[in-house]
Amino acid sequence: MILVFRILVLSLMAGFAGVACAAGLTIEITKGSVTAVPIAVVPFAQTGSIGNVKLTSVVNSDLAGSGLFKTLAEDDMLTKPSTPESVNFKDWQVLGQDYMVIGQVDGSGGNYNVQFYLYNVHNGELLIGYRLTAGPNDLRRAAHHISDLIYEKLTGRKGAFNTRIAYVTSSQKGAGKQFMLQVADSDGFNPRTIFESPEPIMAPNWSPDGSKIAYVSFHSKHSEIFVQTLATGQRESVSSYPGINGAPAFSPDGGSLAITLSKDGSPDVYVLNLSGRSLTRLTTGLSIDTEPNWSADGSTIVFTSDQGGKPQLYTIPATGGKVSRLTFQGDYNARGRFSADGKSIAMVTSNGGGDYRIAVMDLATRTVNVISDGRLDDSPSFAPNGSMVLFSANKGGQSVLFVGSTDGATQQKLAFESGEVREPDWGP
Amino acid sequence: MRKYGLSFTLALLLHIALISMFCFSFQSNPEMVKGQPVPEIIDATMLDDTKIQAEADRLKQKEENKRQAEQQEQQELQNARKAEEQKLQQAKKQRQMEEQQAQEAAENRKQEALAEQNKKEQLAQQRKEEEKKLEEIKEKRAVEEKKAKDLAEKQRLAELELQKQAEKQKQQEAAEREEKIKEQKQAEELKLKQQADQAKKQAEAKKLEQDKKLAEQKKADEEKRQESAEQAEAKAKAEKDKKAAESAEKAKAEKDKKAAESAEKAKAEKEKLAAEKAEQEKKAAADKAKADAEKAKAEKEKQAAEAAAKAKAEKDRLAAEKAEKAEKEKQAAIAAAEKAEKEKQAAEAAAAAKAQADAQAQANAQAISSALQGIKNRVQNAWTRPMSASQGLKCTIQVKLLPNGDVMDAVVVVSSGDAVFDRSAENAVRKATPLPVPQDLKLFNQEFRVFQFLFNPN
Repeated sequence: MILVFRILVLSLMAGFAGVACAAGLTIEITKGSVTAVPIAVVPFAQTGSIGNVKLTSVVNSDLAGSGLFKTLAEDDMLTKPSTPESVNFKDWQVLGQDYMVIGQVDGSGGNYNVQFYLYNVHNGELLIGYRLTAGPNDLRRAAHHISDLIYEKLTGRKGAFNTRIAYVTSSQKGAGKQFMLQVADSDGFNPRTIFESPEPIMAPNWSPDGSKIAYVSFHSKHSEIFVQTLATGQRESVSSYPGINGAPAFSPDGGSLAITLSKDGSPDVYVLNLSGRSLTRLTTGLSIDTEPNWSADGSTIVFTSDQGGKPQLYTIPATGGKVSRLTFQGDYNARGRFSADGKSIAMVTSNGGGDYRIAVMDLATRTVNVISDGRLDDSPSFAPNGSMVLFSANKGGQSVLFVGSTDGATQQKLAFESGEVREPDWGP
Repeated sequence: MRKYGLSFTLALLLHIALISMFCFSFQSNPEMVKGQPVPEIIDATMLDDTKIQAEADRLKQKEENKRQAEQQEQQELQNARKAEEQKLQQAKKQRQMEEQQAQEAAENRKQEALAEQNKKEQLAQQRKEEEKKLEEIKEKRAVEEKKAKDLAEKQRLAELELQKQAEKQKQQEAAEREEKIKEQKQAEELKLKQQADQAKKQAEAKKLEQDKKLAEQKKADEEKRQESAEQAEAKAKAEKDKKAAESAEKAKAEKDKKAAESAEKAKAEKEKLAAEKAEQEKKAAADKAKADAEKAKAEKEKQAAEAAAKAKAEKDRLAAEKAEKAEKEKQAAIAAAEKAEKEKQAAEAAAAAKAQADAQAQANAQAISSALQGIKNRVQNAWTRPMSASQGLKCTIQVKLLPNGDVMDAVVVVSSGDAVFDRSAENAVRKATPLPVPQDLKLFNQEFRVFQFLFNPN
């Protein structure tokens, strides 16, 4: 028995030695550039009528806007293949590309039949082969969906291109103003007005399932919190206490709203149960406590408070309890928003001088990284995948929306027809 | 209620059917592609608020498509029939064509036959002409051959004569050579004889000298003995004489005492006689001693001379031996020097070889290290680290290279567990092609044909 065991051990050792010998020369690579990945999206071959939407432009814009990809301009392409048989990977290697996308769109049947392929240029490996059908008005969504698939395959994280954003626009109408709550694609296209009023609309917030939006309206001349179902357009007033009714934030389970009320004196954070309308007060005292936001696990609420003299971020357990200060850098830190993975918080930060910028704090290390250029940036909101931050900025006296990567590497201005755009919230 | 029971049930069923349809349409959200690369194509449908419409459209479309497809099929069938008819017609045409071709072929054959006859005639004429030409050529060749033979014989004769002469010369030369060799041999023999004689002579001389020496020694010994004997005799005589003198004196004194005068004369006479006798004896002894001394001196001189000669001979011999020895030593020294030189050369060669080998090894090591650095730099420059990758990832890529450094294959052998990270590493290696491998093929085969990269950015 012992002999057998010994023989086994010896043979195992011999095996390991053999493996060790076979290893031979090994070169260790310790450095690499953290740059955008080059990808070529070849214009898809089109049959039938496509309208004025160019699918690959949308995909290019999505990928480049994420900051993780460097797309290839159409003019720089040597060939424009649309079928797997006509691809010569050497052409794309020469152009320094890592990946390439080819495909076809057929719009001859009313619907769009889209077929595309994602290849690794260096070994010709087919990473995605995909066919999808989109309705007459869904070509942009189809493009975003393609971007999402590519993004997820190449970064290992879910894409957020096929998501929607909510925001408030304001424009002159006659003597007064007209405020509109709108929902659009994440790149600002396909805007749709869901509520409109001559009185201000503020602080839209998506429910976790994307079916509802909570917001503050002064339609009745005083602040009131509504929850509106998108599919039906039906809206419901959930908080109309005296004083301030502000800053609603859905809990991760969608069953509660964290809100700010001043019915008991100074503004404080409360949790409103949507089904029973019961109210739980979280903060007390004479300080202003507002702008609550839930962590993804629902355990913690971050809010802005001036209890230290200047506005700073604090956290409190969602069921109430001990308040702890989160931010210590700068004169001003407000509008805290948790990322979906709960690892970071986006905020508005200022060191004085009226310069407000968006920053992202890593909760593990408490390091704060400023990602926007200022001077009046506001209302940060994470993309569902945590890779981008949507925020409002004031450029040339006009309020516009930007999407920036969380490392500050890229920023992309969202396209809107006109008017002031502010208070954005990135939905699922 | 009962009145409308049937219609109610039908309405209910219709609603259920509609609801189930909705349910199905709701489920058909496009599924994300996850994980491994998908060689197959995934079907998906984009659905929005317009999905029902879309679904309906799609169904309509489908039906239309079906109808179209059926129509197409029918058309295709018709087309197929047409095609077959066309094929038949084509076949007919082909047959006609073939018949025409056959006729043409027959005509062609006829013409060909005529042409062949003509050709044959022409060929026959040509053959005749060629035969004539051949005969002429044969005659010419015969003449030429004769000429060539004559020339060849002449040449042969000439060559034979030359050979004979050469042989004579050779023989003469050989004879001369033999004579020379004989002479040389004789001379050598003479030399050898002379040398032998000389050696004999020398040996005899030596022997003689030795004999002489021995004889002289014997003589000297004898002489010594004689001398000592003589000396002893002389002594004895002297003592006798002394005793005798004393006894004589005694006797004289006694005689003086006993008989004075008479004895005086006798005594004087006796004394005179004794004295004379003693003197004579003394003289003789002295002469003898003198002669002996002279003899001894002569012998000594002789001995000295002999010794000198001997010494000289010995010296010469020694000198000769010395010279010989020196010569031997010289030769030995030369041999040693040669040996040393050879050894030195060998050592130098070995050292050079070793140095070369060392230099080669060093050069190889240098080439390897510089190649390693070059390859590392190239791959690091080519590597785009994924931004999304988490910390602590590492993976091993095995590459196969062509001798020019082109990356033939790169595969992940130890995965990081993150497909994106692995792919970025694999792509970095592929992107870095060609890698700067050493020019030396042996070195390339040893180290760089297949090796591994460890991507470890931490």
